[in-house]
Amino acid sequence: MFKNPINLAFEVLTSQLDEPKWLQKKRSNALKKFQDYGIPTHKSELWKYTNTKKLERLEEVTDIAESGSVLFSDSSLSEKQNTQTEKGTDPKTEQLFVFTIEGELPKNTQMQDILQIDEKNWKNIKTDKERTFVELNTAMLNGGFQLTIPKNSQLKLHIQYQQISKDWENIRTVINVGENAELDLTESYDYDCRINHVSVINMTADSRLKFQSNKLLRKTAALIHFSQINCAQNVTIQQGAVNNNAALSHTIQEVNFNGQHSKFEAASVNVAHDSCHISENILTNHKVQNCKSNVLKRSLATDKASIAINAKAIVSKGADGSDVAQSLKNILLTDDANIYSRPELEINTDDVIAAHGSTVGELDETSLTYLRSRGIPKEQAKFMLIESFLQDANIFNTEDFLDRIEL
Amino acid sequence: MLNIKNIHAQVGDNKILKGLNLDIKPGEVHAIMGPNGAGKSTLGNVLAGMEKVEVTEGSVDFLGKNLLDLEIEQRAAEGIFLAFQYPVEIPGVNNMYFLRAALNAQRKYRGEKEMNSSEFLKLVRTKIKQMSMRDDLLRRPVNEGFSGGEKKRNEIFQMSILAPKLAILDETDSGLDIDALKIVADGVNQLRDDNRSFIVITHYQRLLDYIVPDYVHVLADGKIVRSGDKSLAIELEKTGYGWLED
Repeated sequence: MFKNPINLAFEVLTSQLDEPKWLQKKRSNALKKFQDYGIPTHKSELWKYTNTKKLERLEEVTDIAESGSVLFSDSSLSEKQNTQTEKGTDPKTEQLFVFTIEGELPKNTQMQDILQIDEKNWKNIKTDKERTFVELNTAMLNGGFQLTIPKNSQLKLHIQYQQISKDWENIRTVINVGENAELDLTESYDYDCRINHVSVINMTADSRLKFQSNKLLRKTAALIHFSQINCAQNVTIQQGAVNNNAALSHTIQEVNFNGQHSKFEAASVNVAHDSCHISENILTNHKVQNCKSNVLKRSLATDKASIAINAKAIVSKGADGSDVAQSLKNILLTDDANIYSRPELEINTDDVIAAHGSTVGELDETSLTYLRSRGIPKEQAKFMLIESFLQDANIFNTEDFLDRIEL
Repeated sequence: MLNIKNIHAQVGDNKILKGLNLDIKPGEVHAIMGPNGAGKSTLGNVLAGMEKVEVTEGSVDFLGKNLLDLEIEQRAAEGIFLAFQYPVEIPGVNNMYFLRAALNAQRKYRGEKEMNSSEFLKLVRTKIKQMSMRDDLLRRPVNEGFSGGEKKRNEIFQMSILAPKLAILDETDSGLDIDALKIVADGVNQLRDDNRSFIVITHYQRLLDYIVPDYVHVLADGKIVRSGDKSLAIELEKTGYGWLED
């Protein structure tokens, strides 16, 4: 995927596409940047504990999505109601997504194929060596969309990202949530995927987002995800995430507070078995006054699995009234499992409320003994303690929160 | 029911029980008293199977089974219940869920039919009234945010649900005000019958005003050094344990 084959793959891809020149130029510039940056190594802060060499040794994808599932085109978005799955017509992006809308689709909702948008609508993402895969995503982009939800509307949407080939799927998604609009979004990925996903969510003033991200992956799968959320003033975001297994699952998320009085609350669960590796990196950028971020992560590693957690908050000079909290708790179930956990605060102003904490340990023996002393077998008692530990991150209080996770 | 012979036990390198013998018949209540560090709680821990305590010598027969061969949970299912001196808080594990899991695990072990949720709820409602506990405590995580008295009451409440054959109360009276003490004692007395036995570990005679024992034993330096009836507890209240040094 990364060395010489990338040039060849790039040539094959671009020769097949009939794209505007500006996009062709974006692709070739991105490829050059990616090659200049190189593949991240342990010297990169956000990749320090992620062995990227694993990406060169991935097993072949065995489960490819069947045809028929798809992206909807803007013309099909006019008068849809109730629960429905939309089908698209563009062969280039077909099958990459399944959209399921619950309830009524707001009028004037706009959807565009990311490969068909005007140059002026393309937003560049600032990259560096840590974010090199964003450049690769641009160079090799093979699908995506830009969805715009009109102001004062509500939308409940589930998006399934599908693996449609044996190669990497490079997907870029942009969601614009209009003023005072409300989006209830659930994102899931195919169980056996090789996806490099770049997602941007732009939240306009007074908008609300309820966001659940499910990465329940096969132990041989690979997912690289860069996510950026930009908040105008008075935005409210609740985000839940479940990351389970994968040979390599690496997420970088940036949350930018650009307007005052916005709140971001995130809770995630990471569970890794065998030789799986999960890395979750979140940066909350308090650029303006009076915003609040609360990041909670609960992680559990067993066998020879590894998990790397990095939560960073930057409070800019003058961003007084910021309120920052980070809680990272981690449990190791075996001697060979590894968890690296790092909360980090960079505060450049005076009037800030900030708290952070990180723990790594084993299951509490005293609690385990107490449960056993009432007749509960050891394995069941362990399971109960694990469940209770992870329930901390059940931000939406759903009953089936842990049902699909391999614990 | 319970026959303890020449038990020696230690925690780490610290030898605590040094040849303890005790015989308990069905329906009997035995009080264990003694100075700090005598080994009272260790006796409870040995019987319940706490892994931090190592038994180096002796035997414990419980209803014809070698108790020392059994895991903690197996002992519980055989009918041993230890009311903890310091009940553990378990955030995130709902009290009701925990109790039903415990009850059904014990029933499964004994080859009995598991209790469904409506049967369990009915049982819980009856018992919680008897223990004068607030309903909402059941919906909360195990012992989390409970006062000291509520934790002790919760132990007795668990005991009433699990209906053990031998209950060991490890300083259940510590930290209780007089009203809470009466409630806890009432709960214990309701469970007394000809088939159920109790070991009541305590420092103070006042608990024994409410839970009247058949026997009182003085434990010192890892052995039972004196046994008697309830009057021994009254005597100890007056004389203390200074006589042990003579």
